[in-house]
Amino acid sequence: MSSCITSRSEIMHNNLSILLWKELTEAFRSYRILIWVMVCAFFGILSPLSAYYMPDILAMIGSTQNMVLTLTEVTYRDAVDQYVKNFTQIGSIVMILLAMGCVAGEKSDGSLQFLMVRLITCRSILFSKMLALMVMELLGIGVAAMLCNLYGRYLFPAFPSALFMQSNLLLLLYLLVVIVMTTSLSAMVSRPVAAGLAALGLWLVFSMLGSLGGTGWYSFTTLGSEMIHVVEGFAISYKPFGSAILVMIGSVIGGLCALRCWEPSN
Amino acid sequence: MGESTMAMIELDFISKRYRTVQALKNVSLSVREGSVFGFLGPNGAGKTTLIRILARLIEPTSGSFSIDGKAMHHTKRLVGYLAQQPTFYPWMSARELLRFSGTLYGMSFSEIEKRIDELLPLCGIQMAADRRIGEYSGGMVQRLGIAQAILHRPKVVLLDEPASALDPIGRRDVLTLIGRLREETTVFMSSHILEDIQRVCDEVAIIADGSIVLQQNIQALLCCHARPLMRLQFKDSFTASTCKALLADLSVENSIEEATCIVISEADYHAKHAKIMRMLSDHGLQLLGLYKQNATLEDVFMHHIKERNHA
Repeated sequence: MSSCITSRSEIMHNNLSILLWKELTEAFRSYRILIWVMVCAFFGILSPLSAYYMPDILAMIGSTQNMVLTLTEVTYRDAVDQYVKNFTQIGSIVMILLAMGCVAGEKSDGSLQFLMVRLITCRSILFSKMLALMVMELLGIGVAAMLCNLYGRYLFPAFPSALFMQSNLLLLLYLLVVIVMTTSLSAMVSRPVAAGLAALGLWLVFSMLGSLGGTGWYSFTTLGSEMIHVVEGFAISYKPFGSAILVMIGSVIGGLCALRCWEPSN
Repeated sequence: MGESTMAMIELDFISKRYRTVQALKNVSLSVREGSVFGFLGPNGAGKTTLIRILARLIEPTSGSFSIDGKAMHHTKRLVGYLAQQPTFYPWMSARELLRFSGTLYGMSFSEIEKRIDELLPLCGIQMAADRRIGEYSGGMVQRLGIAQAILHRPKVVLLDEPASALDPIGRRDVLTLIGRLREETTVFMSSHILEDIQRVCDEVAIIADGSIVLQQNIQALLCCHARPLMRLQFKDSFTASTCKALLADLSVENSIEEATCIVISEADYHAKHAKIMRMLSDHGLQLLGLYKQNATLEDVFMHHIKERNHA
């Protein structure tokens, strides 16, 4: 029997890929990937469309009220602004909802025991969940960026495609911080709702700090503003990167410690 | 697997404390290789805590254990575990779960497939092997739980109350399956259902309030500790309860079973046979039947738990 079983170190190494396969299959079968990609596609199409047709919509509303609205001419900046707002606000909340149960859900339904009695490290469990969410994120943002780019170029001839695609790397980093934070919080608590509320609370705190200016510019949530700077061709500020990295490192350490200390309750 | 005297599991003074509760107190025991070992105790006695320690799900506060001679930090691969209320991924099929489990133990693809083909019929789930686990009944989940626990041919299978949540048919099937496991592994199962333990186990340990009360071979245990009983059957519950009160006056320890039946120890009955018969005739209590009852594990269990409570 022992001949068919590979060495312990090899098992530990291989288990991350097996767990990642499990997480992605689960995300696919529970329609989580589909939901996320659809939300992203919707934002990708809606952002340039709503920016482009907003004057017409407002004019229509104004005419029914016997009002004349005078608006400045819409540009690609409005489309990008809308795109950034959609993802950094609604997109973050959707991501928190998708990630909040990834560890806490398995704790509360008992399926985490199935993994914990096997030759798996807590690191593999936590990282596999984060990686699966990152793959989802990449897929969704990829689809959204391509659709927004397509519609943006069609509706706004001056749409800077290359810069816009580059700026999406910042959006990926922004949502990655949300993923790492929520997954780690999910490892620290025993109920998905608690993880979701804690992640939402932290995200709101960082968002408020980011809107304050001054030291608030160090908050990772200001990566959204940096996206717009990139699209407009301005130099990027590296202030929020430090906070993004610190939040991720802190979250991973906290999540790993919590998972290592976890004991099933009755 | 033949008879062996080698200890497969050795527990040395295992204790576990949860904040204010001492769940286990210096538990030491030894489990023979190839046996089906029953771990018996009332709810809250510490059975699940000990099984989780053996499965390395929780750390003992003090003490250590070894499995097949290996220290506790190197035993994960040697153990197969079935939780009290097993939960598997409802979106997977049984075949997928077993493949996933085998891969996590580092088994090769061909070995996993061969083993799955052996286990699915053995556990009686081959017809549902490709159905989603979310659609399984409680009994099927339990059988799948046993299959995943023995998939990698562990030296020890830990079963935490494997039949407690099942209907009589499911219970019978699972116990038969456990009985078959002794051919390939050592089984350590906990239960509070004495009948199940008596049916499949070779050896038993009784735990109460976190301490081991006794550990012995079941047959030897019944011979040494169980007192044969006499059952007195009456026509109605009123007669039985009247008799119970009168027996108490004669200082005969007794208990009512099934409302119309009184159970007393055979030794008491023989010592006070004449007095009991006179008492029944004086009070006009009609005895429908008098039977000798073989001792059961339940009698031994109740006796030891009562003794412990008195102490």
